[in-house]
Amino acid sequence: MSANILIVDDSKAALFMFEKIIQLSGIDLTAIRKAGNGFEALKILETFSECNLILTDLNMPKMDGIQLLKSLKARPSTREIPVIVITTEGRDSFLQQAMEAGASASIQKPSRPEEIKAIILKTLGVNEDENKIIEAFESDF
Amino acid sequence: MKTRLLKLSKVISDVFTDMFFLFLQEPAADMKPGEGLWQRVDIAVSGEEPFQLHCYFADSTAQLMAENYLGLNSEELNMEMVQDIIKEAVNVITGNLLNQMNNDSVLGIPQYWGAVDKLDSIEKENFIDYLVEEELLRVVLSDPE
Repeated sequence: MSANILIVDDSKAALFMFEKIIQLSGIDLTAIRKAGNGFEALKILETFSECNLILTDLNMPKMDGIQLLKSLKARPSTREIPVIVITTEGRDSFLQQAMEAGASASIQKPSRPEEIKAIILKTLGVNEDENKIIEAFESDF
Repeated sequence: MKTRLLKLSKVISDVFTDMFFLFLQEPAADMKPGEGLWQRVDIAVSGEEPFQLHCYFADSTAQLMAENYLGLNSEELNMEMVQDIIKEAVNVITGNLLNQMNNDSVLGIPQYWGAVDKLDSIEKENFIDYLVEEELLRVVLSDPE
């Protein structure tokens, strides 16, 4: 499955890092878009209908990750897009709040690139072993 | 506050190692801050046990953190990226600290405060100093303002 990913984080450094990790991971990628907060993310999604995965930080100004999740789940056009939350928070109550708002998975900072890749592939429904086979096949050519 | 400082110390070491590939050392007891500027980042935690964290990064330390984290060399970095990195560091440190506190404290948004040239002017009791590549890093824990 080809990925069209939206990354949402108020830290430009974090956006840069996640984009780099995704690009170097071997995931079959068509497009990456980036937003600095929930409001920007919703705006981008108005013209990014092919988006099939969202990664969002939780702790952001203007519109935080929980508010974004609720907005996404309230809209028919974005309700089905899986959302991975990125957080420094590991407390159960906080993660539970995100899951109840509709998150599919979570990534806790700091995480290793291979852990991030595994979570993304799993959320996209791609078997990591199959992805490795495809990568090996393509590298032979 | 003392217990929190101890937990904070462990968290800071882990974050610097895992995120920035930098190992923190304890400065000599008589070490005084040198000349130069420090970049200050603040973050507030609200809720049951509110507190604030003020982190002071030497210019060279902030630059090195950005280079290591982003995998870029110094020519590829700008001031905005470096400030962003140290804000992210404070965000991750505080978030990881809260993970060890079994309460409903709420993490604030890290704020870049600006540059300071005198660490000695800080009159706070609860701080930890580290040595990062020969430069001082200071983390101050305080009550909410």
